[in-house]
Amino acid sequence: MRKFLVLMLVLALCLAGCSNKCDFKKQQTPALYEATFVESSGTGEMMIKATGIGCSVEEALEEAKKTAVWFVLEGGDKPILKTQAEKTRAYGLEMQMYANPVKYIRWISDIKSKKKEGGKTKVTYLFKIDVAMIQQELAAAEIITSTEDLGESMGLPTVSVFADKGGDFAKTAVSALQEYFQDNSFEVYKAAQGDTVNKIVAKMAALEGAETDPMHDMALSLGTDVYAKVNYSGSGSKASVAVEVFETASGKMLGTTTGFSAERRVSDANALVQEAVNDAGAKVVSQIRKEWMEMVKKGKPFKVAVLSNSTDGAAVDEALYGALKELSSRPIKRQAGGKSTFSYIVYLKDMPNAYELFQALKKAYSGPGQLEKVSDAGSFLVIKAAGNGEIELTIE
Amino acid sequence: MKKFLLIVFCLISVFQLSAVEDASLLKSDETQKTYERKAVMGFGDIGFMQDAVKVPMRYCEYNEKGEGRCVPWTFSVNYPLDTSEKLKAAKIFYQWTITNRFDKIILGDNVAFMRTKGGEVKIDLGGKIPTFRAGTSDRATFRRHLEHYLNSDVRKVFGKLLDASAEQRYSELSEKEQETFMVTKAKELGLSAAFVKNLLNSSYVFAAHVAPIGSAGRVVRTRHKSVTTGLYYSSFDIEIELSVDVVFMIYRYNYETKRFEHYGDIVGHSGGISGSTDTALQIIPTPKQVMSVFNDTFRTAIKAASLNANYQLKQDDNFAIFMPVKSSDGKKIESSFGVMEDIRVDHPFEILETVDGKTQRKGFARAREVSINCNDSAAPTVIKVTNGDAEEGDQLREYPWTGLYFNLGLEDDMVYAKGNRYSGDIGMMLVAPGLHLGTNVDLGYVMNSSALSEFYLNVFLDFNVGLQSEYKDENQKSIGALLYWFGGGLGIAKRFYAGSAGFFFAPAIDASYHGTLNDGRDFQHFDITPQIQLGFSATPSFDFIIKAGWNVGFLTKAESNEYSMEKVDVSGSYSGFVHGPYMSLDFNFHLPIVSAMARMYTPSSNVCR
Repeated sequence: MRKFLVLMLVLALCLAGCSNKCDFKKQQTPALYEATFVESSGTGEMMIKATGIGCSVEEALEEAKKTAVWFVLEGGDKPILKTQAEKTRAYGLEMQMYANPVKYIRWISDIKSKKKEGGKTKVTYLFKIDVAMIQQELAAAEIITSTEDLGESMGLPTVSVFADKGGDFAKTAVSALQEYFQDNSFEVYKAAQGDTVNKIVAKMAALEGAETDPMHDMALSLGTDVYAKVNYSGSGSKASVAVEVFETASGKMLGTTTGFSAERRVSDANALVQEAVNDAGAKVVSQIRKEWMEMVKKGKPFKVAVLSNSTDGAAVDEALYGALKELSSRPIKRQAGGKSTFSYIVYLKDMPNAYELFQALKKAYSGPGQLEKVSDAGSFLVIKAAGNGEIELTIE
Repeated sequence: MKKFLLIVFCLISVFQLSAVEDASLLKSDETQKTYERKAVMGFGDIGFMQDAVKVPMRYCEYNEKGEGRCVPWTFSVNYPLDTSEKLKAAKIFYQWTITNRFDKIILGDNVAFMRTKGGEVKIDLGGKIPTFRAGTSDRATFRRHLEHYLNSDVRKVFGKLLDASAEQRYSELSEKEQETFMVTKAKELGLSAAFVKNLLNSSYVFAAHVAPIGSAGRVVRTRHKSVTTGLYYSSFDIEIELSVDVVFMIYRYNYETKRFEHYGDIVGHSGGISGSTDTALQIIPTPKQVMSVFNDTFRTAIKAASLNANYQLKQDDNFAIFMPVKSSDGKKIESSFGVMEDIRVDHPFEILETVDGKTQRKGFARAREVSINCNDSAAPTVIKVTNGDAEEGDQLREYPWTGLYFNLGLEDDMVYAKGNRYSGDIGMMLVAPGLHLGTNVDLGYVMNSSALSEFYLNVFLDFNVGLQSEYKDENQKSIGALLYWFGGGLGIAKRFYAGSAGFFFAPAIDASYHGTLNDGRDFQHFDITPQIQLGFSATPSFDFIIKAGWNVGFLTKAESNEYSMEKVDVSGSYSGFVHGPYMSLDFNFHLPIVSAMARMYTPSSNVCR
């Protein structure tokens, strides 16, 4: 009898040892962090390819959902939670999101990959994640600053969009990108048909050199803080859109990216252009916000153009330069300097617009005559100052 | 001209469209591979090594008892292979080897036939492409001729267009995409070397060459005795045996070398095919009747070789049906593939999964209801798991199969005949252990009929060695002579799978006729054997079955020399009704060569007509 029991025990142990039992402990956080950004399927939606692991396909799918949400929160090159502080503050809410990822998932594809590794099942799916909802919840919990709050505290940049080249789909590309910026709470200034670069900007551009960008000049004329150039290309079944974004005052590039549509046959290629813009839009908006926040922290750029005459020009230049130096801790960039006309790029903290800059300058100015505002648009200020004689706007 | 452009467009389209399959992030990986319709090009003319088939003949004479002998004739018969017969052979080849799952462009004599899912279009080539003349030559010469034709005449027209379109696809990408996107995002969006290869290498050219045809023939003269007049008369029959091997040469256009290159060869074997006149002839057959038998046998041989080639083609992943399991309760899977992909009733599939980087088989499934997807709005194909289980994300791969098995069984086939010579006569027990050989064919598969799903037709021959055991009188038991039995019959069984462990049971019935081969005994009996079969299908290529049933029949002949020097009729000693137990252990081995069974195969897409 004893022998029989020992035999049974050995058999049971052998069976237990031989059986390929899956050992997977479910955790609050994702078990895997394998995910890739695929495309922006809408202004507040992203398609993410995410992988999950578990003992069954169902379990692995649940994990993949958590991975997809994690990717939007912390993964990739444009996570919502950008800083360690934000991640720390978001911990509790993040766990809630992982507990109910379905809330943020708008669509799940068919299975894209299934493999067994070490006795566990790994599956990959495509997910459309409602990024806007996640952002709203994080903003409501005061973990991140909402777009509106960002606008209120620092002033979101005003934006204008231009097509780099004409053609059948230029209008679609521009409209789609404008829509994207609007959906992300940017103030979009649209150049109306027939709008021309104003005279002063044109003269200043000519003064600064022949190689000026007409879109930059138009953005200055419109008074937007930022302008975007969009360039599309493609065939009947696929489109790509390249977007370059510049800070208007300084001409500094804030971001560049390329968006692609999927390859598919469509009756109207405008749909592909729209899709490619959606893809690029998500990337570029994230870049602008990041750069703009950095820029506002360090000082927002203003372009100041000064008109004077050849008699007082040098004194006005000296006095204004001194006044600007008092306002800014960062070096002032002189862009063009003549006998009667000059311009500067100055970086100023806590200066919401060009009009307030004019008021501050007026107070600090001690040169010949008085400062008078010719125009202010966004971050572009044009002033005139002269002791005696007429203002000269000449190209020297 | 419009039609010519259409064929060019279609060819280019199919050469390219199926190419993005693993390209972008939106696509699935290899574990979820799905068959995408391919286009192939072929030639209406197939090559032969001979213009005529020389058939060595034998002459046989049989008497009314079936006794007789054959002697070789001193001459052979030459059967000419005329052009129309060769073209018919090509058509059979394209129907059975390059099945509906491919779009086909068949280049003929200054015309092309484009067969797609939507139907067939005839295109006038208007002399754009010279006609391919397969001619009569050995295989090496045929291959050289084919390669020259492909890389000169065909390449001249299609190659340039294909190259241009490939370049066009690249030129469609902007410089910026080429410089930045290609470098940084190529992998992400699939514009890689693999992408290009897939894009450009997704079509094939097929050509067929028939190797020397093995043949034999008989003229059979049988003597009969008229039941009504008692006079003797003779009938004649012609029997032709052929075996054909067809070499299918597959070529693929290589965009790097800009040449059609050899992809591989498949040799389709017909096995031995025999054909004869449908009814016995009263007079010596005419040449036309002989030719008709030959042509019929030849077509069957080509069909059998094509079916074998199709079986081999399915072993290549590039031509086999793959599909991911979309959703499953573990036992039932649905698929949009149907008759237009040559899926047939009882079509077997392997269930595959990737484990630690290796593809492993986890079971088998079979199509039960096949989608009649002649148009887009068709009910899906229902596939049921017979072995193992399937879950979402597993992969189905069709299992190369012909539906035909070689059957070997070890049996004990007993019958008992009650004696009626005296009161209490127990009678005679004929014990006959032995073996049977035969073929088992899945009628559902070969005839693509869901009504016949899992109905197996069994044709068998029995060889048994047994004993005659009976009581001579009330007190004396006799173990009689050792009996040698020979018989054969037909059986039909309907399998029902129990669960998904591969086990099945099948109610079945056999009809058989057996007779002894002994000099001193001549017992013959006809039986019907209802039975129950319990089996296990290890793979679609092998199963074994335990059969248990009861023979019910009657003695048709009972002669014995037990009571006199000569065999005398002893049937009066027995009741005539026989019955007894039947048991068998059978093994079925898949047969990739279908031989004469080729006649039974029905095209799956016939339902679309």
